[in-house]
Amino acid sequence: MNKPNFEPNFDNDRDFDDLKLMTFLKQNQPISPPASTNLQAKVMAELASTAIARPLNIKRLEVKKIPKKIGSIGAAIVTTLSLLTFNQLFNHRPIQTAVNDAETIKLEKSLISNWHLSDEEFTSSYSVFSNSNYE
Amino acid sequence: MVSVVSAKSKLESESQSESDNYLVGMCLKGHTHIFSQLYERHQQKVRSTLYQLCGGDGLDDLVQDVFIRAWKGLAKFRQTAQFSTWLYRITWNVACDRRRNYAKDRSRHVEVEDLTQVADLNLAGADKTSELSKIHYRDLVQRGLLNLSLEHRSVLVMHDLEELSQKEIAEIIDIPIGTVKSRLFHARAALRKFLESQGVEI
Repeated sequence: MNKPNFEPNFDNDRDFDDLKLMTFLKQNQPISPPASTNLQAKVMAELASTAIARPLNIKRLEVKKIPKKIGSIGAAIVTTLSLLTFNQLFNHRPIQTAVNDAETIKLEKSLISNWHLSDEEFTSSYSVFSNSNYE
Repeated sequence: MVSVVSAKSKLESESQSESDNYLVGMCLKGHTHIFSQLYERHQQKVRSTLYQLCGGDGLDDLVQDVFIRAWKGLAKFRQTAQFSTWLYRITWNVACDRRRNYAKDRSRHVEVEDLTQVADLNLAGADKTSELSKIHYRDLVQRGLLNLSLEHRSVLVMHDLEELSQKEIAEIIDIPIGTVKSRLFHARAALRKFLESQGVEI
């Protein structure tokens, strides 16, 4: 057997039999047939007509797909719906809106002026809308 | 001596890896022609590996397939990895696809190709016997390799012939390093047995 024509770089745990087998394989390694003369040109021509597959830029797509205005409108709708659902589910009360002092007084006066239309039984008990409270 | 050579080859490999990554970067910037440098650097290794894994039939097509796949997937190549390891992975995938498509035809083609090699020989030289014995042994190694399963063959070819580390092979084939060791052990045992059955004393 001929001397191996390569410089071995073996792991420490490789035993002598493996070393001999590797040497034999290296010496008698099957040699690939030469490439056809125009192979490189063929590969390069193929590449020229093939684009590199670029991975999708998800961040940029998200910004493009959802403009800011639509995003904020959507967020407002979602918030409103969430509030309504929360109220319906847990409080069972209609949504209260803020009323300023002037409106409160106006409302009370209107109630007083129409008091005669209300039920007797209801007015017998204390009410913030009772006449006595405003005399 | 061995350690000096090893260190030198490691340094060369590291600097090649860096320049490979630079060339990949240039390709990604649109310099298509730069890819020819990557092709020239690696085509022989790719070709040799494919030949030992799949035989000589349609070898040019397989090599072309590897480089086209590499080109298409260049943007997915992580610059932290080694380009050669990544290319070996593609080579392995191409070999697996080939096995699926042509498993039945393979042995027939190899026999035909071996005959062609013998016919092409120039037997007029003085060392005719030596040449013949070389061809005989090469043929035995080739047949011995084809006798192994693709899983065993690929580990043996990459480790013992292409001199890749077990860690690199584990990365390429995507298996644990323990499996690489185990496959290597069984592949060597099977190949040794085959060669002994053919009258080769190692």
